[in-house]
Amino acid sequence: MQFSNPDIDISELPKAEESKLVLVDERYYTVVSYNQVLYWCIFFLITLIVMIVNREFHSWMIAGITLLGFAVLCFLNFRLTYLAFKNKAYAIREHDILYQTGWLRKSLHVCPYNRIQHCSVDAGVFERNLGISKLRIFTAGGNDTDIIIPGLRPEEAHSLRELIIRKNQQE
Amino acid sequence: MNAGIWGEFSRQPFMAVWQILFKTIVQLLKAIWPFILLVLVRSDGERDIAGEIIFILFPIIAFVAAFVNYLFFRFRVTDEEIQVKSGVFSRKQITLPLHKIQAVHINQNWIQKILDISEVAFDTPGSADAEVKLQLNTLQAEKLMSYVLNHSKEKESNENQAQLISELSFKDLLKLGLTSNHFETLLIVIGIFLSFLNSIKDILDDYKEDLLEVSTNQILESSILFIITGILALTLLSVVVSLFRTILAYINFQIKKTVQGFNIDKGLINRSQKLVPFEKVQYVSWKTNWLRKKISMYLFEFHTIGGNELKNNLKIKVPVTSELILQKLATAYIPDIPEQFANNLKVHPSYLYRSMLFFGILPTVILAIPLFLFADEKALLLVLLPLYAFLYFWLYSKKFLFSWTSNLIHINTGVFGNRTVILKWGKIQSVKISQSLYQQRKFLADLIIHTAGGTITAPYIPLEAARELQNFALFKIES
Repeated sequence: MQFSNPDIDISELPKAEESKLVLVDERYYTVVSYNQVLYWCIFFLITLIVMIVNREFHSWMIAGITLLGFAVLCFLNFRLTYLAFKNKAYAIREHDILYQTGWLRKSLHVCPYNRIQHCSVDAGVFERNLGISKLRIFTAGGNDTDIIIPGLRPEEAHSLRELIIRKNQQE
Repeated sequence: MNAGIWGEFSRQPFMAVWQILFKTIVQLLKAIWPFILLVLVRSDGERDIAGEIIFILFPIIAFVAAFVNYLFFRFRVTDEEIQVKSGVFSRKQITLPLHKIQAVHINQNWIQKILDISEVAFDTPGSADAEVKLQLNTLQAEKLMSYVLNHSKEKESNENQAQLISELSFKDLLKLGLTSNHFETLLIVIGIFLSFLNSIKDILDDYKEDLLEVSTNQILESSILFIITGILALTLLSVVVSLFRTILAYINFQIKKTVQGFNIDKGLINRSQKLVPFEKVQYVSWKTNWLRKKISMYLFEFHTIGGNELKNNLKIKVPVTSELILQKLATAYIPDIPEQFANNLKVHPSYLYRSMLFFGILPTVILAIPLFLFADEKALLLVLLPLYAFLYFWLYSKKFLFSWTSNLIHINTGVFGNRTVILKWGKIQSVKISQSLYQQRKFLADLIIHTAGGTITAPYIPLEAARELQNFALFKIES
């Protein structure tokens, strides 16, 4: 066999950043919102109890400042979550899977099929009610290297999982 | 070697009971030593029946636990896998396929040495600690090690001509010990002292606690001369402890290159033997400090699967005493390492200012205001934090150099020392580009490279370069 070692033009390589990304289903935002409402309700109740029990809060000004701070934090959290949701997108390519996430810190994670250890499809209570699932992709690189794509229809998630397993075996 | 010895489920050698007993006692002592101290301190010459019962029960419980542990621990080794069954109330069965084993370690502490047994530990992907540990006769342990490695390597040549790469003389050990990180040791010494003080405080009476408070305050308020003497004594203690730690860790150190990989042997009281198969190494790195560089001394590390989650005693670190040995170790991972690189990237200057802002100035402002208001002028000492942050990030951005060829990635980094990392493109698991809002505006990005041995980050590099590197990494992995 004749050995060859030609130069590679990096600019000619397929560009991950130019891939057409598919946005995550809107129903996923509903799930996130349910979770947030639940979280903020609990947080609000605790704040309220602390305010009732603690005499220092028995003044309109302090109570007002606390509630205002609470409202600002709540608004910021909802807004940032919405912006982050709008940036969640994925793409399936021939040899790898792309997942974009985050708004305050935006990231594009690319994981080749031949590096995937295993993958699973699961759904929480809210997700099951809304008919969506999430696909978890595990690599050998530890916890922060795993990709979780939420907001997929169950059949879509399962066929994606099948595809990944098939590709993984081929490569 | 005959696998039939362990073809059927069998127990460990009976001598292992004593090692298990020793381990159980150490664990129990670690958990209840403040209580024992309390019993001793409070006895005041009077009979303490509860204390006596505990002292009698303690060894009995430990022995029963060790014996039951020994009795219910069975293992077997087949051509395909190692199986372990253990546990009394909750039964546990572990099956470890031989081809999944990344490295095998043989450890022997002083008690095992007396009993002539060794602990064989197997590293597997995805677990921070060794998943399976077996106590075997030393000879059996060595046989099992070579058996497992032969089978995990898909029937490669069984010739095992070991070539000695490096060993450490006593002079090398002294050099290594004297040039180690004494600051780290100092922190450990202070940490141990404080935790000891804390544990004592917790268990003593109010009276004795007051006494301790008084003596601590007296120390703090005593003369500058006393403080200087104290600092000098602590520094000296740190140097002695560092030297002692290094000698204990690396005495009888030898590294040999075999067909299967690197064989590392070390230790006097606690003996340890590790075999690192070449193909299981994800990336290599070596570090040195100013002093060590002067005498060509480095600490080389093989990063195998498990990465940063690995416990320190499972990390594979090799002290290197010359650049030639360093070259031998690095070229075993990848043969062609150029001296100079055509493609280099440095950290953008804004990295220094942004890091200063987030890790120096902001925490100082946030902490200084309440401290200044509610504590006293000592809060002004916080001003040192931004200065330290500046020095830290300035040194980091000055030293950071990300270089690559079509075969490898080469990173020079470090803060107070120098660290070099070499990674083959093919060992990458996934690649991520991450950008904060500021980086998005400035067209900068962090390139995060995940390998099975840990994560490597190139912060604040031009976005275009990060994308090119990401695409090139994917090309190398997928083609």
